[in-house]
Amino acid sequence: MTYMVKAKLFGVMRLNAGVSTIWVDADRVGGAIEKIAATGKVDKKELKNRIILVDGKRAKMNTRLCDGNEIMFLSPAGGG
Amino acid sequence: MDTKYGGYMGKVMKINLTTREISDYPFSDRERELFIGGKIMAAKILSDNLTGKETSFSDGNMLVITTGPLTGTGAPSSSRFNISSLSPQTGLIASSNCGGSFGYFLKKAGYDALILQGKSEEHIRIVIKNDRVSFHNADDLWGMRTGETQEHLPVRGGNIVIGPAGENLVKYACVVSQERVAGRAGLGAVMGWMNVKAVTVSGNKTVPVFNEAKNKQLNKKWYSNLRAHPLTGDVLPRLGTANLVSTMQMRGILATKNFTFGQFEEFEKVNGELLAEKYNIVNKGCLSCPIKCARTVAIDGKEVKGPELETLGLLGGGILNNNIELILRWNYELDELGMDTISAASTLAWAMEACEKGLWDNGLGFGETGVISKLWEDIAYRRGIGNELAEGTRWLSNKYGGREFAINSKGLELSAYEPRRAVGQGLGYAISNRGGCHINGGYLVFLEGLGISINPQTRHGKPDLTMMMQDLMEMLSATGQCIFTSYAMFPGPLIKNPNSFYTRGINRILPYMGGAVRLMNKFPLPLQFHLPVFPQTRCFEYVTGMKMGFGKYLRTGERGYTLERSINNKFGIDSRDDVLPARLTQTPQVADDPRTTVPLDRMKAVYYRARGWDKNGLPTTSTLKKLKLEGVNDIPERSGLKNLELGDDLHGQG
Repeated sequence: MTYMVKAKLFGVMRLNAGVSTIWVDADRVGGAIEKIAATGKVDKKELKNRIILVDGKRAKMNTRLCDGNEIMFLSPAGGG
Repeated sequence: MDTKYGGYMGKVMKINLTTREISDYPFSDRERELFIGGKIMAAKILSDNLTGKETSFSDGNMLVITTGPLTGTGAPSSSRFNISSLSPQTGLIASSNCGGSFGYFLKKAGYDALILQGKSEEHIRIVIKNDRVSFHNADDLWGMRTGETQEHLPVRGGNIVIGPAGENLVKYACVVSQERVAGRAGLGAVMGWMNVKAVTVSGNKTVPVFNEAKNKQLNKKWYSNLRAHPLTGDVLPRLGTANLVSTMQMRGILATKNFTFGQFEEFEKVNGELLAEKYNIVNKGCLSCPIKCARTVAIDGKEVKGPELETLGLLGGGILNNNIELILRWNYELDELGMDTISAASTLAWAMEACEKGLWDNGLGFGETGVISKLWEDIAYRRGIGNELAEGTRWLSNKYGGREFAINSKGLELSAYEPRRAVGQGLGYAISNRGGCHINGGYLVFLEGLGISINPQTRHGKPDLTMMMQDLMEMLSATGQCIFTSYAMFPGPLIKNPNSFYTRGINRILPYMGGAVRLMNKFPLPLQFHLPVFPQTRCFEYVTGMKMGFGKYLRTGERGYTLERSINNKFGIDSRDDVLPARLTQTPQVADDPRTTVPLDRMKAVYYRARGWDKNGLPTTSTLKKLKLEGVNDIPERSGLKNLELGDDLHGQG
């Protein structure tokens, strides 16, 4: 069973993709990444290499998803 | 030329504003070897001249403007200059660092540093062209904003100016140079007290370089490495420091509602991505900088500097404002009035909370933004409640109460990083020589979830890592470079692949490497070699002709940090002043997670030991001897003095 989840991109990945939000249906984070990559906007390897949060909590590839979950993909950050 | 070393012009100019006497301030090659330049050189000059009895607005204080040996030599991001003085906010030594081109032109005029002391009888601007110094009446400029002031100054050369806030001695007034700002600690007010509206420098001298050919070769490679690094070549140029907002939100370290929370629900309305996509016109950089982190935005049809992370964070979530366009405007207005955006925003947030809690009926409220533009003016011109807001959070909380949420350290308001979810940064804020400054505090938050991700809640290893980072940045600053160049010492894959096996391994191990880091801090001199990832040491050698290795680099930074601490000790600072407001040490950020406070006392004790300071936070005699600082803190009653500016019995009030 799959669920509609909202994937949000941040940092340079968002600028590269040209979109901030992509809706996909998936049951796990890994599946969601496949679907997002299939849109052609972001590279799969790049998505896997980001810090991934589901509803604010650190997630792994096999983290289960539910309807309305928000997956966030963070790019590295620096400044000062 | 009064020096055998490259990178230096060999002269320090001192101007007594009271008498208009101009003299060469003696600074020997031995002192250059020990104190390098920038903030460390300034600390040495101040240490030699301050007795512990001066206040920021007094004839005994000095405004010391210094450059580093790399300034003007073509090294990447090396055009910075430093201003040090006694701060009106803290009453202690403060150094404020600025980009732009003033430092470069000061060296072109033939000087490594400029010292201003005393008070001019009339409003003046100073023009330095090579060896010639002239004083001009500045009544016509007095009252002007910083942009307009600069339009009236000579185009050729570098300028520093103050705005109305500096003229009216607002405690957090800043110094502006082009669009860059020496923002922190109120040094614009010191300049205002001196009646100096502007300083212009120009000249045609050349900065000597010890080994020009090797320096050029190194710089070429260095520039290309910085352009290839994920942070300095991609994230910072494209998103500026504002890139941090989203990551800070996810990590729970985005100061929200005067540091009540670490996350702002509406962060996407004020983050760096939105700034880049919708408002940034072009990214700009300082002279000789390949990173170009500055933003440019349009305000009233004019292209002006965009906000940094601190401003977006503190004027966004900090006061519960979700309108980025207001932040762009306020950022411009604050620069024009000549006020530090961090302290201004934090003071405003404190006032909003004080009103909410019924401590001070000032009519301000979180999320109520309509009056804020006018309020900046009221502060700058000290009108109405603005006159009190101009004093900052410590003064206000002493008057009205609410010290537990007066978010400052030693009188200087904290930056936008909420330290309860990055406890090493909390330690840094508390012990920092200039007060609540993230950089002078060691910027450990970069390791605690921004660039890499060590456990942000553990205290293990944090004191030792803090010391190392502080010493490193102290020295980077002293050489005239931007700290962003140090990001390239973290290998690209480490930053780019946070989920990789080896990145996770490093994140896990690093906090438990405190002992190893302590050994490196304690005995850095065996590390007298160049690290391939840290070209700064090699560049320093090529420019100056002095021997430099990573170990000596750290040791020199340690000398600078301890020297500044010793000056503060002269002014009565001890461990009782290395504190944070109770909100950050006693109230968990996450209600059911007691780990989300800053375990300050335990980290502080380890930190003091690592630094070779006694339990009162005073460098021991053997530490001073080791650092060749004997005699700098010869104080009659070491911990008995109180800072005159702070008043009696103010220890421990943040």
